[in-house]
Amino acid sequence: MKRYINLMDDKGRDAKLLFSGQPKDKQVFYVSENGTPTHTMRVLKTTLQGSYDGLLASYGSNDSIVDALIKGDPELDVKRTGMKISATSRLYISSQLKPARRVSIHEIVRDVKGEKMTERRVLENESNIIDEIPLIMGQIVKKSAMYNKVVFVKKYQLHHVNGLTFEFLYDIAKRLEDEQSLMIVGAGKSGKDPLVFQDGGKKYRGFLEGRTQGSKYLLILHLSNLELKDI
Amino acid sequence: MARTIKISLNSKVFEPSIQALSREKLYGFIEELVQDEHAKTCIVGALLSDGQTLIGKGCTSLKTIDERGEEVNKSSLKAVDIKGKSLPLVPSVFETGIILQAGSLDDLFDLEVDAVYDFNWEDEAMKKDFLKETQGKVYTFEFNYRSDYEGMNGILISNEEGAFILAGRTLQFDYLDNHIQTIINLPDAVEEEESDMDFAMF
Repeated sequence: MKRYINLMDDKGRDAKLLFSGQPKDKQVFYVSENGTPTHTMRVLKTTLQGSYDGLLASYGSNDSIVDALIKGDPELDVKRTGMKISATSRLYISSQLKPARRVSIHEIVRDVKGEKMTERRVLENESNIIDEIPLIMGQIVKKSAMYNKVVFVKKYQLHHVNGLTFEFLYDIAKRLEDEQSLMIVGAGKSGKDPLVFQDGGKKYRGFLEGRTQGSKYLLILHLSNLELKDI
Repeated sequence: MARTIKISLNSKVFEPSIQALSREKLYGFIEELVQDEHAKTCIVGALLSDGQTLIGKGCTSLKTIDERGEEVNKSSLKAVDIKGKSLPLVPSVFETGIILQAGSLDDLFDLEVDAVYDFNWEDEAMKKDFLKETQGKVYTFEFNYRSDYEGMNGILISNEEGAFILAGRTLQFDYLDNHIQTIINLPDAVEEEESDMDFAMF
């Protein structure tokens, strides 16, 4: 699947462009003592009834669970323990250990000490990288002023889709290289909203970095959601 | 007492300890509260593919098996590369220490960061000295928190707040010329789920 991003420069020119990441290739493989390949498999240790939540529902207290564990093996399901697990479906489970229906979901926002600050309805971030309103390339900041302020946690390379967008991106890369700068990329009408790459995804600030090699260019969109601050 | 790392720089040795820097520690975190129709708190679970078995947190385990499907003791496993060549164990920085090498801004911008560490200093004078030595510079080194078979690339930078280690992998992107590129490395379609707060860093 090709993924597009809609970008607009400070002259109001916008273009739908392709972008790509660099998935991490597996570098380390584990083999048995005689050198044969091994695989990882997910197996069932116990069912919900034998889990801590299940035992607590059955026995009522931690002390009673301890007594039950000393006397027998309530955590084991003889028929199912050890079973290979393939696909699972995520769901919510009620205090009666049954699938819950008509659930309400709220978010409790806590500060760094764990103190409750507020409670609110779930706010799901919607993707905004290919909206009708393009992402706006705005403020220029010197690399030397930004490199030690934020953590660049993700990187995507921008790709042109035709000759015109080649020139569009080459010019941006050249300008950023010449000025040894980054261009802040934001969403929304003001271009100040964070970027969200997929529905339900995280919010990031975007910083465009450009380099050139003769007639070739490299434009990387660096994403950050963390500042470099002493804790 | 936290373990310290020996950092060698300009014929001096500094010995701070490190702690992971995360969004939770800087901005706080979000907890999900799920209630059923009777306003009772629910837990997150899963339904197995048999359509009847429910599982909760900690109900599954990962096992290593051989080609015959028999479990293999993890302590007997050997690490190899894609060609089957044995890989050496990369020691932890707590054992080897760090020798800082001068790096560049490109080294920093090429690093996809997996983890960030902040320093703890017992000696405030040592902290001041270290920040003075490292201010405005980028250093590179091999970083491995725990001994394993896959070392990471490390970058050390500092600002007015302190010094930080960025650990991750160095990416190498191809420069593009005026041809339509075939894109084979697309970004992951699904991100891991994580609580998030509004991000107002600037």
